Amino acid sequence: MEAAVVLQNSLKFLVPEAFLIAFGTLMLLVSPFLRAKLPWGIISIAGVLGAYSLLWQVPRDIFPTDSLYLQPVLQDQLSTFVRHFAIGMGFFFILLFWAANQEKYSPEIFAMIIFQVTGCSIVSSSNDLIVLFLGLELISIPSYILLFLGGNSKASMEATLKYFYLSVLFAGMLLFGFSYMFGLTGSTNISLIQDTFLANKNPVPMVVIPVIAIVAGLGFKVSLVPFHFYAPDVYQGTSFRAASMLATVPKVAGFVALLRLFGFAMVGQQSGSLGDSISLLFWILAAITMCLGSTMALLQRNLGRILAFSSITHSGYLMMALSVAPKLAPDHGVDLVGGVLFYLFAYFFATYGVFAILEALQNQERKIVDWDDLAGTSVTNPWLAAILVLFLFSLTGIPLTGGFLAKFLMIFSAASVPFNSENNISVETHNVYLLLAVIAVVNAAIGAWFYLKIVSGLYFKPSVWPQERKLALRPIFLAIGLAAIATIVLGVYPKAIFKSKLFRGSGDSVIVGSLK
Amino acid sequence: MNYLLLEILFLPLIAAFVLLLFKSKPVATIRTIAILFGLVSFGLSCKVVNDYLPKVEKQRDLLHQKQTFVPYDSIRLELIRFSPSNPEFPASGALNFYIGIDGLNVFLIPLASGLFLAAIFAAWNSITVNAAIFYTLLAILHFATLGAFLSFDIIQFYTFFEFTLVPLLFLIALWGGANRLYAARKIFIYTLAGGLFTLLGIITLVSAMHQESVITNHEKPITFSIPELVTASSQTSEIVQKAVPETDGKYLRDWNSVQKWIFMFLMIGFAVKVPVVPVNTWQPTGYFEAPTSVTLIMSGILAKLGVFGFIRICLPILPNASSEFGAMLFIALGVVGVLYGAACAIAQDDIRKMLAYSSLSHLGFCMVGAFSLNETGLSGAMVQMINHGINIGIMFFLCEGLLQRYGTTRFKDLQGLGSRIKMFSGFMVFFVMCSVGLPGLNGFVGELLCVLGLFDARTTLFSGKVLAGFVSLGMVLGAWYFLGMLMKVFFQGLEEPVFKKQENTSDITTLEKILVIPTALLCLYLGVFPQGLIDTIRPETHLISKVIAKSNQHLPKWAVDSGNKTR
Repeated sequence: MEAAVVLQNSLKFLVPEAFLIAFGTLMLLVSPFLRAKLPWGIISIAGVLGAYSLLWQVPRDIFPTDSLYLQPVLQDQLSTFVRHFAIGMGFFFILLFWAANQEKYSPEIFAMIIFQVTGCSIVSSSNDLIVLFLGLELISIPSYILLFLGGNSKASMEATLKYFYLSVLFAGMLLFGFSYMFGLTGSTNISLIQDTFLANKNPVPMVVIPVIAIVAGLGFKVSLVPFHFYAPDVYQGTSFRAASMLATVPKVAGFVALLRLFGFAMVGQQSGSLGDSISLLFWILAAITMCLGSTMALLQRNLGRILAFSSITHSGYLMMALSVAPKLAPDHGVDLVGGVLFYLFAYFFATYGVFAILEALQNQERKIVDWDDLAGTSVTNPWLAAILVLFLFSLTGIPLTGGFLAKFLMIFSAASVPFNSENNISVETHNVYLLLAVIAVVNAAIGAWFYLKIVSGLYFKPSVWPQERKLALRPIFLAIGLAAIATIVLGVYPKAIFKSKLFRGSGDSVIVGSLK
Repeated sequence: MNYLLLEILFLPLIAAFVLLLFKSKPVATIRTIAILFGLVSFGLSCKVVNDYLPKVEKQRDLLHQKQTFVPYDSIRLELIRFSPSNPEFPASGALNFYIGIDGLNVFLIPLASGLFLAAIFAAWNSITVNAAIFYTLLAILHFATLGAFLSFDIIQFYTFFEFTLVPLLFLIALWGGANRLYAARKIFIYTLAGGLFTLLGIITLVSAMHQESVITNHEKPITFSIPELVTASSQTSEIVQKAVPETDGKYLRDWNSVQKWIFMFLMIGFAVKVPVVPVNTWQPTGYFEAPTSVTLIMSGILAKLGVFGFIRICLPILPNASSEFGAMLFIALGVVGVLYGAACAIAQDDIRKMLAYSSLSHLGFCMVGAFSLNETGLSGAMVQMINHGINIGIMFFLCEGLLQRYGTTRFKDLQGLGSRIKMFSGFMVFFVMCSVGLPGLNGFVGELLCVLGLFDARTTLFSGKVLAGFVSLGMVLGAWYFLGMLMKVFFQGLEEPVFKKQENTSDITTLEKILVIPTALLCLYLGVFPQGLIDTIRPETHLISKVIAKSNQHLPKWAVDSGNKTR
């Protein structure tokens, strides 16, 4: 297969992303002449919807099966699903930032959101380290600007700077890992790298160095524990809308990148000793992330900090699935990648919903900082309070919400590592993973406490806001309503997503794609 | 016919939405709507029983052939598919919405609906602030409770089991007594933490059933359906017992230890829900701080969810662990619960607190009966669940009546009420007699069967007969505190609190009569003719005791057949 043809097909494949980038750039170019918020909001929504319709136009099976090592991008179920998901996130975030009382920078803000979701979409379809890195940077750089435009207080400046310096540091680390990987394998093609490791059961010990550097770089994006220090400070300092973006877009991208890069470790014993080491590394990261995240959240009063630690804890649960993945036979029953995507989906709606409602509730005279600032919301805004409880319960993992099934899938995967089967996994190994499930359960119980604290602030504390305040109908309520419906549907009738054309078998793609 | 179960399950949910629509209407309208829905729901539940009763004989035949729960009527809908299903296990490979009716839950459905109706009556005068929200939450709680009892899918059972917490949290924290926030949080965290371990247990159970088949080279799909898990478990037991001698019982040991671990995870959530003694500390504050109508629900029906979980899941699916480890633990804890609850009840100075501890004591009987692991004991536990549900429910209902009249239920404020509210006191005496287990009334039957079951209990460590002696002591203590309460509150010279709620305390009202008189007749009927009840649940109790006997052949055969003594 000609490299030029593959490149041409790749460009055809990337039409929606190219459209979004062109659209965002045009917005920036026109922005000096048009500053009002309303037209820009409508334009950017139109842009996102346009990209979404282009996404449906992308033909299936663009690439022939034999060009895997030449392709910079990969068309499979994982990328199909995440591309739809990413553009959907763009729609939600535009509605959220629309709500903010910032006339001044609206075109820039909307353009940055569009760039970010494009980055997320590129990450999901990348089959090349360079493309992957480009996608990740396309998420990071706009987020610096969004954080900076988020507010003009000192705390917000501090948050922006902290995030900027640490993000640059970890981007460097990621790049170091990528270049080391290139040095070891002689290629930047992810499929080729994976097959190299699969073919060579006992690779050189030095391979641990790039693995650790890459895990650190991506661990920063998804706020895993040793790399999480920025999260509480940044979430506290910045606005709720910027925090909601930080808690979701880089997390989705980071986990999808982890799935792409370490997908080869998920083919059971075929991945050899490297697969075992990666599984162990993920085990440790998952355990400390869950434990530290949930216990630290107990100590907080500030809502931003509580939600930051909540986001960290959820990374731990997701990491658990990645750690278990290498030990599950491919046909074991739980589609782990599907589970991770389901979790990200449920987590996105719940986290977005919580932040969006906090954003909707606060205005100039009513600042919400600590959890007890919410006291009396159930009286002043009963609907928003009830929906906020729904989202918090989803994050807790209460049944009949999406969060419950998501958590169930994670724990199910960890507790169902087979022993004595063809995989040569001993009962001890099985018990080690069962222990991870126990840790997850304990942390879920601790998590219930701090989510309940917010709920009790909403409902059980006397109001600090004497008079009732009507909120104007704003675009954000559409987004909150959609997120609430999605949370309930995911919890009550998960078949709706599991059976959808986009989602079906998204797990196989990572494994099969690398085995080809 | 097939849609009856769906109607029963979803009617409360519809009621919740309708009530929410009438949020701004006056309390009387809201109450009427709630009562109407409650009545329809209760009527449908009774229809289920009515439809089921003629089929009991057929059920027995089915269970003889099939060796697992066979719901007489069921609805199954697929939610997530993990792997393709298997002709032997049609419900396997997927999470299902799977509801059905069989002997274990057929009487619990009308009990639940009846108690929720009673709760609406009890809230008649006491809940006036945000009444629509209160009844909405009550309806959601009703929905969750029915869902848990009807579930035949293990994850669905857990979903509803855990979801009961959400409405409960708000009901207690918004309408409870002075210390309501503390009580609500304590219940929520206690039960949620316990429940999460149960979830882990369920997950381990499902994967182990899949797993064990791998060990024994007998391919089985992942299944979440409770009847299929029972089948899978007994098949594995059979294979393991027939394993070749050179493996030296290794499989049997592995299988036993796996079961034991799963049992330990599972039991935590159920034990908290019942509650069993060391994890009962949420109960007194919870029952006392909650509004009485909610206490009625908690003691009458939610506590039964725990026992039901043991009987539906732990015993038939984990027979070895239940007989070797569970029986020892829970008979001991049950006996302690019976005596400790009774002793605490004697020491209380308030009717509601006394009832909370008496509930602990009576549910001890349930636990003892269920873990006797023979047909008599299991029937006893089921009968005790139903009778205790009726008795404690109506007692709390009467307590609410006292609260309405006097604003207090403390012994020291109330004395000699028998001369003031004569009919009311008469009914109170009647229901106390039901609760203490006067022969001829319903409380007696369950307690007697539980104690009889304990005589033949499959425990190796204790002698069942000695323990039965201790448990009988619990019945004596029960008479002590209940009759002591009657003496203090309803007899002796009249003494009423200075600040009454009503100027002229009325005797029993029409509203109360509507509920109390049929219940009294029912108590009498169940006390005189309990055989119908026992016969109906017999196929299932027989099945469970058979499964346990088969799994554990070290036990003498007479332990299995002792159930015939009840006939």
